[in-house]
Amino acid sequence: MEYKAFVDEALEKFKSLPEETDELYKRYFVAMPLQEMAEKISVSKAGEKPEQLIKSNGEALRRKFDAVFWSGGETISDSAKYITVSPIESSNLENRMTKSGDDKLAAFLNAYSRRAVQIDIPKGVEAKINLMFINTTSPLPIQIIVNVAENASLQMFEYYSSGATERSLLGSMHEVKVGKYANAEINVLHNEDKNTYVVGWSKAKIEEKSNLKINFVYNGGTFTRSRNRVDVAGLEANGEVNELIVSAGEQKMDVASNVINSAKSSHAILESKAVMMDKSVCVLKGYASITENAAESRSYVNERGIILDKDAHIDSIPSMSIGNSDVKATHSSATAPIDEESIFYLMSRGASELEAKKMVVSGFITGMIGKIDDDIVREIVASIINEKVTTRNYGFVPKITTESMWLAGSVQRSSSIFKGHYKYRGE
Amino acid sequence: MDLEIKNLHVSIDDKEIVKGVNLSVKHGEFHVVMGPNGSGKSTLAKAIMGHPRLKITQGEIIVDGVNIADLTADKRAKLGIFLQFQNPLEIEGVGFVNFLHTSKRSVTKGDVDVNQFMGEVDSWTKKLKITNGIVGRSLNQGFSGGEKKKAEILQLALLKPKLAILDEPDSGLDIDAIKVVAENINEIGEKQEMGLVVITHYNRILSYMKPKFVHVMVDGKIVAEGSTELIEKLEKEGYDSFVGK
Repeated sequence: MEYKAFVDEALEKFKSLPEETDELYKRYFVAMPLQEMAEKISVSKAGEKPEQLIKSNGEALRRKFDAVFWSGGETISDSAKYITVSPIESSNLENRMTKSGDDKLAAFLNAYSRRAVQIDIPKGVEAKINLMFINTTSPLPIQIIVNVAENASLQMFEYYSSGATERSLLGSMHEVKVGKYANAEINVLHNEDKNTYVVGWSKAKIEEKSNLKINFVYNGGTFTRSRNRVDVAGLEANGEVNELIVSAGEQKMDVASNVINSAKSSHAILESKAVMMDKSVCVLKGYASITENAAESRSYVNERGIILDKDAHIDSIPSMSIGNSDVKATHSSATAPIDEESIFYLMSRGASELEAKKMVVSGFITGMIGKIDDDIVREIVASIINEKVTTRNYGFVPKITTESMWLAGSVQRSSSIFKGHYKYRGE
Repeated sequence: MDLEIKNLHVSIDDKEIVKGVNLSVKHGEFHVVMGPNGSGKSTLAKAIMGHPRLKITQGEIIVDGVNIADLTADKRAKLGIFLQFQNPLEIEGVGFVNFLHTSKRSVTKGDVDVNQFMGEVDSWTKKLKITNGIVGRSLNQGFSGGEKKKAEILQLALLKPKLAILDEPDSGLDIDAIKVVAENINEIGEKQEMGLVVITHYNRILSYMKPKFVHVMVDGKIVAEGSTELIEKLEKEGYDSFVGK
């Protein structure tokens, strides 16, 4: 298929697929202005390199980025390995474009992204890759295709930021494949500004005896719509999706994820925690499915929310579909306002009300932050969330300090999560 | 620190619980408040600490000549008031040591030498016979009833308040632990010359302590005051003889 035909098909699909039909979403969310963004992308010229934004973000994060992508271009470090970018002219682009299925978001990204970032980690290689994505007033839709070959190992950090003076969009579409006996950790931190809509579509497949952990942190953007699907497709493979949502002001977060056990003795975890402040709204859907051939597999879905202010709102909906009786599967959901008695207890020991709330929030999310194996990313996430709870602002990087790390004390490993959470589902 | 409570009336959700309490605790004095269940002892303690849900409808809480009724709990803690909770809260993910260190920094309003502080934690942990590594856990999570009480006394020792209100430090403790807790409270109180108000139902813990003043609280009021002979009277007659006074 020619690239043009591929894009035409995606465009057609994007136009023909219905807007969100779910009554719950309709109740809380305005429609994502995808059409408006599509028009902006069509008429926009290649944007200037946002030098200052890149510099300030890079310095604040104290991390060397291997590649930076913005609306009009990219910079790839000379020392960066395993990263290639297919531009619009590339004859190979069609092979790298991901398959959208019937997902409107994916169709949008296929139709309008003009670049595919390809990360190929060769067999047996261990790699660390740091990527920064910045949208300006020109929207940035981009595809990220990750292939971790057999026996390889990847630790990747994706940092999303923005500098938009009017309504804009940052969209990323992931397709991840983890080969046999390989390991991958992908940390995705969204910290876009108040003018930015965030669109995410991710699809991952994990092969035999391999491990994939994706830690999503949704902190920025006025409106986020994210759809994630992880297929634990190999014998004894492990897939883990962790979602940390921190929402303030009038932010709206719409996150729906699906983990699938489709092989024998596969393990899947989908864990989400949401911290809701001010008038923010979150709809959180976690869906685990176990296919008929996934005997002796384990699946765990857990969604929890904490509400700091009376006008904040969360709908948490975990669900499961189980096609084999010889599995262990659990799902749970719990949301509550921040406990007044806990705040009084901490205040009685000298903490101000804000400090007390921050302590309770940090306690609530510490396990999630502890799941990020990359020490510096853990520090960055802790600092950004600490700042968000303190100031309710987002879209910039505060001073990163280890002071904020009082919250990331306990590291919870996947293997320990299952302990005590099993419910045998027999005939 | 001198505490003067004058004609204090406290309500929760429009229900009056404390109905005109007068209580004076001078610097370094040791008081005991006894009373049957539901008499308003814990509400009085929480009102002194500044619980936000409690409404002071009348009266004053005066500390060193200043009415503190409008101060939030953290400001009262910084003045040097400490409340040992009857049911300490469990807070997920907040490390106990981090909490102790943060609390110490808050009440002392300055930096705390970590090594010296950890030395103190270690020393008091041993004195209180705190076991099972609770220091390394999340705040009060998974602590037994006795461990929670000891953890509160550990906080008392480390934060060094000027006035401590101890709400049933003996409940949930076995007889050996009651003795350990009482002896440590005595030691802390004497070292710090702190005012102590111990709320209790039972006289067992008081057999290891030497309170100077005893108050009996029934139905939101202090109905009798005296010295330790009141404890003996209560032991013999129970609270019935004070009801309706």
